[in-house]
Amino acid sequence: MRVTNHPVLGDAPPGRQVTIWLDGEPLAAVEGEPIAAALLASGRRVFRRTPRFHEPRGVFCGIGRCTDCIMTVDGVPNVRTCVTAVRDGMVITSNLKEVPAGDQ
Amino acid sequence: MTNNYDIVIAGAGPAGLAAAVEAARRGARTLVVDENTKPGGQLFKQIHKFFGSHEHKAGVRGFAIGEKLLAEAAELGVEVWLNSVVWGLFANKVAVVRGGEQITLAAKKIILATGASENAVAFPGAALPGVMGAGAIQTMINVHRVLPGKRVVMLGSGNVGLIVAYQLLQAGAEVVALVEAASAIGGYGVHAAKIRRAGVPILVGTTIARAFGRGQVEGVVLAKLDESFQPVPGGETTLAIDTVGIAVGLTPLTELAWMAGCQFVFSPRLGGHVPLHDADMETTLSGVYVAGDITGVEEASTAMEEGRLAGIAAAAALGYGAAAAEADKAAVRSRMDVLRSGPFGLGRRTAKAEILAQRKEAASCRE
Amino acid sequence: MPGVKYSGRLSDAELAAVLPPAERLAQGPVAVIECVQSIPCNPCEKACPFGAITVGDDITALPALDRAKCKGCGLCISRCPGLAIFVVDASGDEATIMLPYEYLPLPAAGDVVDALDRSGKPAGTARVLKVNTAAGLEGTAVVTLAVPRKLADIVRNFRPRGRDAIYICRCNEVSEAEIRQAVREGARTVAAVKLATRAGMGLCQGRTCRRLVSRIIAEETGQHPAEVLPATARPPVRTLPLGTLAGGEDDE
Repeated sequence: MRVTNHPVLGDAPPGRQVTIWLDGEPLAAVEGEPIAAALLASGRRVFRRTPRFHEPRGVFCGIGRCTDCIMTVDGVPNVRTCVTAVRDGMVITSNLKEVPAGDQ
Repeated sequence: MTNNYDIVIAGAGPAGLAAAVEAARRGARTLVVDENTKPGGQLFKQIHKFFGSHEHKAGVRGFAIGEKLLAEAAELGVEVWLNSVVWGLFANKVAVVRGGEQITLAAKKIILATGASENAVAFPGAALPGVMGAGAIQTMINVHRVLPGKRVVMLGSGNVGLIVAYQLLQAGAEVVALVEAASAIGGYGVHAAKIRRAGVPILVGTTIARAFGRGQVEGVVLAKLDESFQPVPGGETTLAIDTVGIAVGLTPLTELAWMAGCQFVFSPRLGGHVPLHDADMETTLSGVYVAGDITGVEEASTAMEEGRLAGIAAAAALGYGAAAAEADKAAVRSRMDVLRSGPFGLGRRTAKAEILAQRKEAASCRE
Repeated sequence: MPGVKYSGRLSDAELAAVLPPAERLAQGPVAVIECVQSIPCNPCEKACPFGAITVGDDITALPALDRAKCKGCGLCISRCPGLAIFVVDASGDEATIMLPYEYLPLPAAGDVVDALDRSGKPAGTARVLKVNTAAGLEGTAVVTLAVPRKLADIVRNFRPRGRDAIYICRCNEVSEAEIRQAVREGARTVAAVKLATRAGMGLCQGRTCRRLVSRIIAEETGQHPAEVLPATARPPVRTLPLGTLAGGEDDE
């Protein structure tokens, strides 16, 4: 959910709308914002599953330290989405569909 | 040649920028390196009015102070590299990765202003999506203008927990409760009063026993604690929420100082291990200075004063503005003392004095 | 455990130290500085054009207000980073309270809002008299409310109606705040509250709200709910069209 108006900060600056692709689906984003912000704004909170127990992970530290929020971006794995800005046409893949068979 | 600087500063937050402004004002060729996409550190998410007096910019909101600092730095010709990570210090060489390229900088003086990171906390479900650092929430709502959730419980009643709870209300979220394990509120009463009169319950002697949810957090179980922080039988309450904010303190980010070989001291009051430094903010390594939360977790106003002190001292050591340096430093120190005055400043004041004393001792051992 | 340190709400002792005496309140507007901890801060001192606020060289000192010099202008309100200063005027039939407000939506003059106390509980109804959003306030709006005189020392926040109003009587849309105000103005029984607010006079005839009203009365007056809600009932005990009864047996 976006905070469009704010008592102290005023109306949100319009920003240039761009489209990013999340697991093949288009998602509206604002140029320059971190990937994590764009995902949270669209209500997406599960960014990946852990390799060992397949537990869900999302944004935790927001400063690029904890690596909870990593995803594959334009083919590069383990990109920290909280400190990586969106670009028009960026392709992001979560690993949510990669749960091995028999391990649901 | 281009990679030779008088002063290289790691971190473009309040401390680093203030240091750069003072150094550049005196004529030093100054570079600030920061891994983030934007400069200003945590200043731009601080949308509340600062405390202090006129000289500390009291009554001015954090982001406005940040804008002013950036303008000053630009005007004085401070170079700022963003998206650039300082990954190592080797004698007077600073190793930086900038846009995928490895660059080694030669610096006559180095100022480390790397800040601090939020502490995590362990309870079942603490790693679920929707459980977030309070600072991460603050960045999302105030900088990126995105609400990560609608119904929030906040853990921790220090100023960070109180302020972020208030700012969540301002951004349109509901704060269901703020919980604090200790028997009293940690932060300022005026911050607590603001969220109380907005109807947010502050539950002292209470903690989050666990968070639960399918795929993401959907609720928390709160537990009442006795004086020895043990759960009271039957003292459990369940809250339906979609977001948990964690505000249980910060730890100085000291890796660069460690690897450079600075001597450290452990100070629980300041957030953990911090580098020893003298009254000019110089560490036990000649030419390596520290400023801001890396020297102990305080507020942005103190971080800026420490940055100014380091900037003045480092420049003066290179001959820039040396004549007036003692008077300039004295003025900064007296403003800094004021920020650490009173009962809330007592712990930090004592801990900081202890660091200076130990630094003196370390120096006399070496001689 | 009372006190701002434990609950975020000022204790009675803390309040006694900051609230103006009744005589001063009756003389006209005066600042109430609800700052009880020694934090290093002094913008209020410079904010006052009349020199009524003194902090001094040690900026952790609590602000001292010279109530004789204070004109109640309210310039200090937005200058306090802690949003801890209010201006209260209890010289008239109703009291006015100027308070800092940093939320959206901002109310408009003339709006009726729920007045909240220091713990965010509805204390009554307030009328918005003025909303000051001048640029010099740096984003802290100063809102002036009119409230019943006896709430002058109690109301410290408000909540716009409609969005979050808590309805007790859902037939006649009577809010919790209105019920509490009626109790504070002397209504001590469900019937008295009904007369004052029309809660319980709607279609369901109080069947839904009677218990809630009694609980609020009990909470406000410190009585046991059983004492407040008498176990009496009058016919008809279910909702019936009046004609059903008005016809009478003779018409059959």
